[in-house]
Amino acid sequence: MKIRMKQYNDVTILFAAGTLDALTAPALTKAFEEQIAAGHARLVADLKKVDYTSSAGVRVLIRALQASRRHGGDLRLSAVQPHVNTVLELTGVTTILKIYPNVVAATASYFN
Amino acid sequence: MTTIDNQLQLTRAARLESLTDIHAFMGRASRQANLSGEVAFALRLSVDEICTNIMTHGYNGKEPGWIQIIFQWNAQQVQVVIRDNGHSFAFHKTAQPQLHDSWDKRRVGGLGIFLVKKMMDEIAYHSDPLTGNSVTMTKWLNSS
Repeated sequence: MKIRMKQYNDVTILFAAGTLDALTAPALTKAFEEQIAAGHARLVADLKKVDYTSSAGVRVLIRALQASRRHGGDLRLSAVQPHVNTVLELTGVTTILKIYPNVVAATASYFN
Repeated sequence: MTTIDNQLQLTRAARLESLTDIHAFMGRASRQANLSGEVAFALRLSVDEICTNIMTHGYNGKEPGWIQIIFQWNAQQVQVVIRDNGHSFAFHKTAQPQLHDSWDKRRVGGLGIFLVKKMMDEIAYHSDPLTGNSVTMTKWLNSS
């Protein structure tokens, strides 16, 4: 899994790419943890290039959501691909966080 | 499965590093079986979840062993058998995840087996001290 980051004002955008499974999930976990530890709790995870997730990815997102909100921020997702969305729907994640069609909309949501 | 028209197999070490090969194998097998994207995804996810479970818990306290994946199909169904020689697992007694809890109360256990049960039409688990463990998952092609 490749992760690239970009800062927009006080929002940190994580661009993830690849497959999210038990092997690759720790890298995304680490990225989220480092951002929150640095005081960056307003997060966007752009999943446009994530073609697959297992429950390992769901666990990463739930934990990052919880940590970001407990630090006064949030985790919002953008451009979730169909199979990833299926997993997020089945596991109830779509009911506890916001998903946007693209990274611009997700980032802008923090300033609306 | 009454008649098997085709079969492919893969055996790998029961380590997370084997997931890359397992994903590739499932892609090749699904293409060879000419499966729809939805069926291929359901099988890939289910195999991933079972294998990850074995890799993470199946060999606790033991030297990691092997996982064998047998992918077989005919015109009506695809069946994947996953075998290992690790600890047995109470497959049908896994905790049901609480999917409607609020975000601050959500726990992350039990999601893997839950997804397998959602994705597959039939699941059978068998454990034998001599021959090891096997999970047999069936996806009916006509119902997808």
